[in-house]
Amino acid sequence: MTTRYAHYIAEILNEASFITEHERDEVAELIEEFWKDYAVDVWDFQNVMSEIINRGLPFSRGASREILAEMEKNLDSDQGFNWDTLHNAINKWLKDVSWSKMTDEELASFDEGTCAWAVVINDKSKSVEISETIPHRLHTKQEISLLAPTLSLLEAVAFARDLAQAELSGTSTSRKVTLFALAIDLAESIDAEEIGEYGQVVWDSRDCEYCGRKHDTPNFAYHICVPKETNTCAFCGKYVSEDEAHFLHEAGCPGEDCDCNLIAHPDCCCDDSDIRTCK
Amino acid sequence: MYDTYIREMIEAIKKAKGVSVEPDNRLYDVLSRYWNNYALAVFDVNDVKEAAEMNDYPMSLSEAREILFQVEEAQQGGIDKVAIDSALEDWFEKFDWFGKESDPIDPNEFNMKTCNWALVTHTLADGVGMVKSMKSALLYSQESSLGDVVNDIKALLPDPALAYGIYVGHRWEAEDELIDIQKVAEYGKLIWRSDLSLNA
Repeated sequence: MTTRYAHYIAEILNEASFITEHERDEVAELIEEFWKDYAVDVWDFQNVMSEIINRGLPFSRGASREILAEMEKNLDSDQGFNWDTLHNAINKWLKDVSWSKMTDEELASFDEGTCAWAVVINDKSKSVEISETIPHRLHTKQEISLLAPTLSLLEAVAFARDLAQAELSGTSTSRKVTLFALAIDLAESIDAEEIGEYGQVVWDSRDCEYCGRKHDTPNFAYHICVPKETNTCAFCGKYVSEDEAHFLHEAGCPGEDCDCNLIAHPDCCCDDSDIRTCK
Repeated sequence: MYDTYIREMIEAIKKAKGVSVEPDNRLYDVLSRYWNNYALAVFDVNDVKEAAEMNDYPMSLSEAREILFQVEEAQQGGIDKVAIDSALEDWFEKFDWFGKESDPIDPNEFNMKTCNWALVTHTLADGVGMVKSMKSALLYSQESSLGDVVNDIKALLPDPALAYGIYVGHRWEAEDELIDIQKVAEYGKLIWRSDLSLNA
């Protein structure tokens, strides 16, 4: 193991107050001495990131750790690591990752600028084109917005969410919004067909945040997939629909010890009964 | 990094004065967290020993470490056992057995049991360094070190008409420690000969 790592480790031990500054060099030497019986091939964040950039995927420190752990798990003691090992570990990670189930905090962690973003709006309400090359295939009209790699995944998703929300509150409910991650060098000149081929879907307005699959409408997804315990009125124990679930205090509510912030039917909470009321 | 290496490293670090891993194994957590940011493929002296064994090359711990160091330094995009084999070949080709007076090796260190040894007595033509024939060969098993062979050579009486060679090889069949010279010539590798060495 190189001297560099030995000194890093000693530095960390010093920062964690295991050793004093005076002991740092001695510990570095001990670590170096220990590793003399070994040759170590170290793969790190930078290695993973270079491959992730080539493939145009979102990337985070956490993802890097998962991919590196996968590499170690599948280490062949004869072959060691190579770029194929890394490639396979990324594939495995990509297969397991569930973009749609990520919390906003997790989405925000994908902020390493490794990919560009393309928001594709699929609008069935507009007229369709008949492909010249494949005459029988109807193409839905698509709009594409390219976003800068400097945005985090959460920022890109927020942009896509806004588009989807704007559409939901408008007249048409048939538009679907999909967010793709794609290689930065491809983003400049890519067309809609290629985005589907080379891009990685990281968010879709039809993705269910509970089951990860696509449903026709968000409301449908909510009713089917939401865990039932979070979908039950705190007072009557019966089902609460999505629209009702997060109602606020009513005007004039004293606030203290009020149960109105719970998931409940408005009528259950704010009626005139003895206890469970804010009125 | 695998747990075993972290635990072994902790043992090594504990040798430093004043380092405490008690009471809550926090040192393990700190190191573990640090190495979570890396993937490590670790090759050790046993991998070099194994490769030396396959090639019937003598090996010492310090040379095995040196080979590992060279492998680590020369790596470009990964270390594998082929890289270790290749570094071992390079090392064997370049290694100067007893040649450097300024930096002599310790023959006793070559004790990793990676090869058999044969001490061959050569008859010299006119006593001027040209080998005329292999007169006899004496087998030493893997259990012996190079130092054992060298000590035996030192004990022999000097004879200008004879030269002594050290061959390394594998699975020579011996009868009363005397082996078929033909087999030594065919399968053995000469690493040192008294009439060609400065230290003869």
